[in-house]
Amino acid sequence: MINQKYIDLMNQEFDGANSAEQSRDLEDYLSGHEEARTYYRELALALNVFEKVAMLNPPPELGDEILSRLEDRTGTRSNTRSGGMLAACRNLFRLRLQPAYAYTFIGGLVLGLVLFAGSTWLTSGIDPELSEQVRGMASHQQWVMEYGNETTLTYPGISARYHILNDGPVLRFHLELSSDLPAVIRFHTERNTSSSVVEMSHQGADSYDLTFSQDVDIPSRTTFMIYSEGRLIHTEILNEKGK
Amino acid sequence: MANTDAQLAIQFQNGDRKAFTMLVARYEKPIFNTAYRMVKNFDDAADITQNAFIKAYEKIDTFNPSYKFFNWLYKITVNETLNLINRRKRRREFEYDPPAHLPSPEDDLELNEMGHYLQSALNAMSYDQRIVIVLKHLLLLPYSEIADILDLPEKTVKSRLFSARHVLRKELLKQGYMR
Repeated sequence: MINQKYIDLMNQEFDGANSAEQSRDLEDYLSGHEEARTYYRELALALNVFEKVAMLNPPPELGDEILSRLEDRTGTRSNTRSGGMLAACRNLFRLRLQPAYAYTFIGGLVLGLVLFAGSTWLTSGIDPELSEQVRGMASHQQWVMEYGNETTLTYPGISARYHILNDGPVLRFHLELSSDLPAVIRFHTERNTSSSVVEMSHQGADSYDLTFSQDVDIPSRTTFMIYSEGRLIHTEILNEKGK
Repeated sequence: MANTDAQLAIQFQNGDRKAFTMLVARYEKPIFNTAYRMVKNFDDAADITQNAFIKAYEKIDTFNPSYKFFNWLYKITVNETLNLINRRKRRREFEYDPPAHLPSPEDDLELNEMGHYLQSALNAMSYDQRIVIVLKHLLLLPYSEIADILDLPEKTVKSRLFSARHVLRKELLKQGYMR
């Protein structure tokens, strides 16, 4: 029988929501309870199914169908909306809790008025080339591609490329990571009765070469995770021996 | 530098329709996938995706840019999904609609292999458990944002998520996925 408190801690561990003390408490509990270790492993494998299931592609015509339905409604909408300047003022008011937005908006507004002297700046379109770039970048939430032993990961604001060389007693891992936001790279190794965590903070573009020693006779598993803004965005089991 | 969702939403509120086109391109795929995992039907998922964007378009004036756009859009999607499930419950016994959209060959393979395990496990869950686990593990949202989208306390989200994971594990064991 597994204590419910530890089932909750296992779940929180997967979400990166445990404090250091809670993680230690969980590790101690797992080291002394085989049933709990089995449950933890099975839960990890079950959650891994989401990693293995790719995002499906919507029907190719869906985007056009949406835009075409919107075209039909344009007239109705334009008659019921307030004017551009009024809408801009209303948005500025709504953004009062975010000074950075407000300052950016005011700066842009002043510059636009000076440059175009009351022209149609507020309703001008976006540069078509930029629009295409954005569309290309935006066509996915998360994109994982695997070629041989190399994996490429694309996520808004983050891109990574890594490969693994599992060479008997040594696991070599090469990672190139580029991230606009602060990210955390985490390696969690579980062995029979113990576990260890290697964690690194990251921002900008960098590459990492890591080597993990592994005893081929001891069952172990090393899981690689990337967190961004406290959110787990990628996880992969790098090796699994005897589990 | 790509525009943020909030910037695109403001541009659209100010009359720039291209901005909305970009939001559709950005969120069409995750919205469709969320809907598909909830209703397990390609056509229904496409309908939900269309309706969610149409609603978002119609209600864009009510969107507050200090709020996350995708949370707002997912909230609309969750409501549309629930509406469709309720409509289908009433209709399904009497009508059969031939499918208008079919998955691509590569997606068909996906649905027949790994996706089958996942979908069967999701089907064994209650609606409340399914939506939470889909938002958490498919869209990778944190507890706080799921709570926001579903109008639930974070504590309830965690409790539903943990019980959904328990069902997932049990169903995958039953299907022999972990052998």
